Formats: sequence, structure tokens, C-alpha cells
Amino acid sequence: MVYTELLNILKEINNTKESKVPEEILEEVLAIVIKNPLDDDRVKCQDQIKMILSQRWRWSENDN
Amino acid sequence: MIIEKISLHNFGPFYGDHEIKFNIAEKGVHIIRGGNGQGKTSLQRAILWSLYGKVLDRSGQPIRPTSLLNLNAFEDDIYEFWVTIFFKHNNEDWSVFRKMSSKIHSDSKYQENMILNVIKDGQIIAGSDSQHEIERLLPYHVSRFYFFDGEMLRDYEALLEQDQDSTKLLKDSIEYVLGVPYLKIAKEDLSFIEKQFEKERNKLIKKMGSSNLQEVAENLQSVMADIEDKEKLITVLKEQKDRLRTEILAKKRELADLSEVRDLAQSRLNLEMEIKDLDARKSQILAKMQIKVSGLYKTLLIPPAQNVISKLEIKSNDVLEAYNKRQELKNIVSRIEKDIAEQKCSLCGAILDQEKVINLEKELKEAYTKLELIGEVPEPPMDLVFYKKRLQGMISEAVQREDFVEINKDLSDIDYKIAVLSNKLTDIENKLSGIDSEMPKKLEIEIQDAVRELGRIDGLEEAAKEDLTELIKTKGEWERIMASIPQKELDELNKKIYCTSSLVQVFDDAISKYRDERRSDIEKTASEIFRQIRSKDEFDHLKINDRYGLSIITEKGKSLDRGEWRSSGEEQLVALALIGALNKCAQIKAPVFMDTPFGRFDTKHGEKVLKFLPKLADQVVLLVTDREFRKGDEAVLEENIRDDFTIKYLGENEGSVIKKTS
Repeated sequence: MVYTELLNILKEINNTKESKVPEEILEEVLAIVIKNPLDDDRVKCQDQIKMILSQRWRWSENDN
Repeated sequence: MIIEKISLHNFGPFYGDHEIKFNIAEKGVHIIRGGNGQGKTSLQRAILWSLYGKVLDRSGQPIRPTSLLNLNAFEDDIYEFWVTIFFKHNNEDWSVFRKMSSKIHSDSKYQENMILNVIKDGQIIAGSDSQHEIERLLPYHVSRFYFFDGEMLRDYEALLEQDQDSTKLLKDSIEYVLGVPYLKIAKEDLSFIEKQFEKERNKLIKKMGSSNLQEVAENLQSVMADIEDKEKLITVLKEQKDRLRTEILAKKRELADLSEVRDLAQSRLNLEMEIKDLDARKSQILAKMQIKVSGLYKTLLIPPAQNVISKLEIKSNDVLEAYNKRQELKNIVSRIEKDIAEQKCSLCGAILDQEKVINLEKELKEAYTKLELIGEVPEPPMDLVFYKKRLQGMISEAVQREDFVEINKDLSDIDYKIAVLSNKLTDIENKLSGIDSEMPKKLEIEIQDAVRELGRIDGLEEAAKEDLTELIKTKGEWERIMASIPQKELDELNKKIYCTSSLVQVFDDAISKYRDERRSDIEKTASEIFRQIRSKDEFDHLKINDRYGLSIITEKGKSLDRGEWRSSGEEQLVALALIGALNKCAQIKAPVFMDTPFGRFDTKHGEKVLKFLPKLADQVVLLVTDREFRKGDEAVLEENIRDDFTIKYLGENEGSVIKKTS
């Protein structure tokens, strides 16, 4: 429930931006954070997000 | 989370095994009754201890494990206690079992040997993950909104005015309940990753060694350092603003207290006037009494005076009688002599014949004889009458016993009134002692100064923000220059940074939007709840500030904050309205355990709160005393009561037990 609510807000904000982030990246980042909310989870969580960004950065090429 | 069963063993006042099983087939209220010291608070602490392995007393200090063990168990040399909670969460069956045991009665040994077992739908959750799982369900720092002491409710609002750390903790806790931290954590993680990419890029530039690139990298590095400094400055300014706001609130509160002092000073003046009037009246009465006392000797003379008056009366009457008799005879003689001389009756006018004349002469002779017998009688003595009147006057002036009784009564009344007023005056003087009469003015000046300082810091913050925007723009320009330098690996890192930065921006904006929406939801819900539970209705709505403190907005649009309007009972109502709103808007669903829920409420508010409680959460557990929850209160809750238990302390040997209320 919280996931859907937060994702909707993120999508709404994203749609107002000139350079839009692909929605699946928003979905994945949010899902990882919700699953790992504790201080002890930070390193694991950051590694997972960094992995996603390292693999999916090419979307930004269209903007540049 | 809905709690189904709690099992306790040697915990607090519960000796041996005890269990409480809730009827959770439907949403509703579960009543747990018990007098003071029977074990209600211990039951609530048992749940918190089972979940988090720690529990606090009312002053916020951790309770040591050795104090959690039941005393009888301790005397039996049994050093183990445990609590299991069975609950449902998202249609899954959970149990949390926590146990402390030791061979010796020692805090550290209990801590070392603590066991925690968490089972989710039959699966055991291993090791440190078990505590993390509990934290994910209901973080420790937000449990205060679900397990709380009604009497401590007003302290919640007070917390918002305290030091920076507790304010931040509370604000974070509230935002956690609302789900804001997921976005904040994501933004922080993304910012961290962005910085990592930037560092990687700078390393790469240095490795590449080109002087052109080196210069760009150094400029970029310098701008980034400036940005970091500016961000730190903005944080410091924000902290200063928070501190100032706290100071202003405290001073406003002090000022409100001083307006009470002004009233007291006026009361002191009035009392002093009243006492002065009474003193004057007392002096008048004492003077009157003195006069009476000075005439007291006359009272002693009353009996002889009365005796003298009687004698004077007798003597005066005798003389007067003889005098009157002689006068009467003289009148008779005079009349007869005249009748004989005129030969005519002066009474009837008849002419007197010889025989009648002879009779008259006879009567005349008798009268002469009587006159001779009476002899000479002096004029009645007027001095006797005079003395009698003086003596009678003296008697009437003599003091009567009743006069003194009345005076004494008046004096006692006045003394009593003076004593009562003097006591009041002493109370007021004690309250006023040590208070500087100039204090209100000083406080107003200090508040004005603090507001001005707040404005100055606002200005500094705005300027710093503008600088930051400029620096970010400059950084963007350097990054564009950097990106224009064709190096494949560098290009890739620049794009990753851009990508991450775009994500940070989206999450950052989402935080503000989501926070504003949640705040607005809370404001509306809290206003609605406040309207339901407050008996006075002259307010329009509650307004939430950025620190989650609430102000009352009056019908005329005036904003009253905590420092200006609240009694302790009202603070409790506001806090309850806020907690109710938090529970309604929360992303975390958990039961509400409320110890002494009606602590400071009067009967009217108690009933309104009771009516509202079933709406607070799906599972509401009220830990109440018989004084709080009286006969007939069940009717207020209507069909919402699911269970009714009583905790009873049976004595030193048996400790407390939990039973269905009969």
C-alpha cells in the first residue's frame, strides 16, 4: 500500500521534469529501500541501487 | 499487527505462567481492569520488552533486567523470565519469544543469556535478522505512538519544545509512522552513490593526467567543496532557527504564566484593602468596648440605686398624698364658706334654707377639724423626683452582659475574616516572592529580540540557499565542460552522475510533496478528532507546524500555540487528537495499548474520549482503574467491547493473576 502511494508521488514528480527518469528505475529503487529500511541495511541497499544505476545509466544518453 | 495472545513467565508481578488471549475475530476494544500496583503497566511493559528487549520506566530510564524478574521467583532462586507474543500481521501468524535466564541474579548475565525467537508463518527467522524483522514491523522509536501512558500524553507536546535531539527524534518518528523515511532514505542513498561516482570520476581524471582535465577537475572539486560548506552552513542555520523557535515558545509560555502573576498582584492589592477595612472596623468596636468597660462600675451601683429609688418613691408618694388631701379639704372649706355667705348652693344654684345652712356649718366644722389633724404640709419636694430620675438614668446607662456578648461576637467574626484573608495573602505573597515586576516587559523585549534574530538568520539562510543554487549551477557548467571532453570512461561516469542526480531530484521533490500531503491529512484528521473529544467548540481547526506541534486556530482566525492557551487536560486532548490522526494516517498498522487513558480528563471529556477510542485503531486495549472506568461506561462503548479482563494482585505468595472480569 505504502509502495503504491509513494510510487505514484514519484511518478507524478518525475512527469514534471524535463529529463525524465525511467519509471522502472524509480520502481526498483523504491522497492529496494522499502525492503531495507534499517540503518544496518544501508550498505546492502546502496550496493543494490548502485548496481542498477551502473547497468541502466544509458537512458540518460537520450537527454544529453 | 493484531495481538492474539500474550504469555508471561515470572515477569514483574506475574509469578509462574500466565496468559491473556484476546478475541480478535472483530475489531474493537479490550478492557483490562486493575487497581494501582496490580500489574497493568507491567503487562504493557512485557509486550515492549518482548518486542525490543528493553523497557523504560515513567521517567524514561531503562528498567534493569534484575528488576523485571518476579520477586517470588527470585526468592525461589529461579532466575529466568520470558514473554511470548502471538500476533497476526498481513494475514501471517507471528510469534515473538524473548527469554532472559542466568545462574546468578545479575543484569549483565541476564543480558548475555538473552534468547529471541521470531517465527513467521511457521518459519524461524534466524539470528540478528529476528530483531530486524521486528523493527521492520514496528520500529522501537515509533512504538511510543502505539503503547503509551495516558498520563504522559501531555509530555509528548512538551517534547516538541525540548532540545534539538528529542525534537528531531520525535519528528523523525512521526515521519516514520507516515512513511516519509522511505523517500528520505532513498534520497540519502542516492546522494551517497552520486558522491561515490563523483569521487570515481575525479580519481579517473587525475589518473588521465591531462593538464586541461586537471584544471577542470580542480575547479569542479573546489565547487563541490563549496557546495558541501554551504550545505553545512544551511544545516547550522536551520539548527539555530530551531533553537530560537524553542526559546521563543518557552518565553511565550513564561509570559503567559506571568499574566497570571499580574492577576495575583491585583488580588494581593484587593486583599490588603479588605484587611485594612476590617482592621479599621475592629478598632471602632474596640473603642466602643472601652467606653462600655469604663462605665462598668455603674453596673455595681444598680441594686443600691434601685433601693434608693424605691424609698424615694415611697417618701415622695406619702408627702404628695398628704398635700393633695389638705388641698382637697381647703377647697371644700372655701366652697362651703362661700355658699353660707351667699345663702346659695354653688353646685346646684339652689337658695339655702336655715336647715341646709346649719348642715353646711356642721360640714365646715368637720373640715376644719380634719385640716387641723393634717396640720401643715409642705409643698411636694421636687428634688426627690430629680434624684429618682438621675438614678433611673444611671441604671439605663449601665452596661448589660448582652452588649459584651455582641461585641465579642463581632470581634471574633472580624478576627476570623482577617485570619482567612491573611492566609490568602500569605499564599499570594509566597507565589509572588522572587518575581521581578519588570519581568513581563523584559520577556516581551527578549521575544521581540529573538524574533528579530530569527528574521536575521532567515535572511542568512536565504542568502546561503541562493549561493548554493549558484554553486550548483557553476558545478553544472563545469560538469558540462567535463562532459564535452571526449573520454569514454569519463563520459560514462558523467552520465551515471547525471542519472543519479536526476533521481535525487525526483526523490527530493517527492519528499516535500508527500510530507505536505501527509501533514495536511493529519491536520484535517486531528481537527476532526479534537472536535469530537473536546467539550468547548469555539475553535475552527488545528494547525500543524513543520515540527508536528499543533496550534489552535480560533473562529476569528487567531493562532494559539501551546505556550498561550493550554491547560494540562487540554494538552492531553491535543496530544490524543494528534496520536489519533497519526494512527489513522499511518502506514504502520499496530494495536494501541493505552495505560490510564483518562488520567487528567474530567468526567465530560472522559466520556467523549471513551466514545472516540474504538475509532483509534483496529485493536485498542485499555488498561484502566475502577476509578477511570466506572459502572455504566461499558454502555458508552456500546457494542465495541471484545474482552473484559481484570488483573488482581493476590498477595505476596501468589503475585498477580489475569482473569476474565466477572
